[in-house]
Amino acid sequence: MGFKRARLASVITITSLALALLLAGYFILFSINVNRWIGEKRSQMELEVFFENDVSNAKAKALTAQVQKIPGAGSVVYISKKDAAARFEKEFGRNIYDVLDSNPLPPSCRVKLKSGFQTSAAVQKIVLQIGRIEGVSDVVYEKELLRLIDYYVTWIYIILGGFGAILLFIAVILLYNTIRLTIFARRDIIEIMGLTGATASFIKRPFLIEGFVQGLLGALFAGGLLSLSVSAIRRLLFHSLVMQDNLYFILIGAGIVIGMVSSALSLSRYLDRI
Amino acid sequence: MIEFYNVDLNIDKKTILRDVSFRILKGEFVYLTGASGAGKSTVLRLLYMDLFPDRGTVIIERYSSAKIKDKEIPYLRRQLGVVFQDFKLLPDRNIFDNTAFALRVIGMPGKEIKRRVLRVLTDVNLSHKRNHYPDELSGGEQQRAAIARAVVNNPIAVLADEPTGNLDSDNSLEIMEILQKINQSGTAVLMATHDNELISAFPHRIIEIKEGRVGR
Repeated sequence: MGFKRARLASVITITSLALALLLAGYFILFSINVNRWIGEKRSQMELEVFFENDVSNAKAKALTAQVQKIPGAGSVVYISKKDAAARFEKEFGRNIYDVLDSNPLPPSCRVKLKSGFQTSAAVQKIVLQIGRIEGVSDVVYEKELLRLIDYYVTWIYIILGGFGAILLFIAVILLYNTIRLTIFARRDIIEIMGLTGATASFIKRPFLIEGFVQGLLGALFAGGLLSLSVSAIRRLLFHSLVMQDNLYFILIGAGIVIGMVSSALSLSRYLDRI
Repeated sequence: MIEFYNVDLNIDKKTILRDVSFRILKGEFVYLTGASGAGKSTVLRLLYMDLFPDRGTVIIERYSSAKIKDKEIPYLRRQLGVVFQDFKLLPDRNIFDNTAFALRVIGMPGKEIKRRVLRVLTDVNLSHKRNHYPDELSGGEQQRAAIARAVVNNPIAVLADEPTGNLDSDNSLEIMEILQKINQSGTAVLMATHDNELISAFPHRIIEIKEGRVGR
């Protein structure tokens, strides 16, 4: 009763499933890359902690160790007054002692934040904790950039979530209707099976197998197109496009589940009392 | 063997059957008559338990509409052969496969299927057309194929819903002769019809449904 007997219906089902999965694949691919881009931006975030100008080198190192212990602090690099002067020379091209009599640059440390502590709220908490340490004079970071990232990320997630939900809804409706129509076209065979004494499981079996095969083929088709798209995007637009290979397995799993569930749901109305 | 006890049935708040009672004995041939829409097809659907009474009970052998579980319905239907006015043959299978279908769905082995199908197609004089598809057959031949499918499983009763309704008189006579032959071999036949000429030509007991009740 499968592909041979309803070739056109099967082709339509596989194609619509493949398109739905391909759209979902693009959506996930886009989400992965947006997430990664945001993650990169956040991971570049650094706090610059300045100590009192008059603390000794040893004391400043001890303060650095204290900063390191604060939850959320990742790698911490100590910058002594000497290092700060060297940095000044590198940045401005002049030795600080040529400009001033003494070195006014305070010792400091640069703090990278662990992932999960890179949001605006988490950073503010860490900044407060560092600020309370005796000997710390100031904590500087790109507050405005972080706020903008948080703001846009919220909107990106809202838009992605809404778009994803609409996409999923359309895909499910499209697929459910396609499969419902293909099963409707075979209601005669279901009716005759029922009248001749076939059990519900006997009637369901070929349709579920068909749903499985159609789901698998649709997913392989979608996976192939997605793979080609990824290569094309990498070649023509973004060389650094990220693709996770397990996405292909997710598509195959989703295709099989959607194919079988849609078949079972579409069939159920014909199997009320069999 | 088949019994209706005080059966009431309403569909969409409309009374279809009211207090219908009758009994059909083993090996009996009975006509179910009545005007179009009187409820003849409904009686047949109640028998193969596609519908259930709102009140009263339908009994077929050891199955009762009051007690039957959903999973037992296929086993009840294996005891009945159903024939429709529009044949309900599957257009994408030949006559052999259409007939064999009733045995395949109950999981009968292939060798036994072949033996039984060829025997029953011979009985309805269609063995030479076993490889033909339904659209290559006349209406009478299609109905004979549908009857072959209904009886291939050796049912205790054949339920025929206007089986001659789409046929000319010659083909109708041929169908009646086949149903008679099936009945003579011990299978009960309940035939819904409003063709009085056929009833006169092949007289049997009549159950008349009139305005949802048994008339005579």
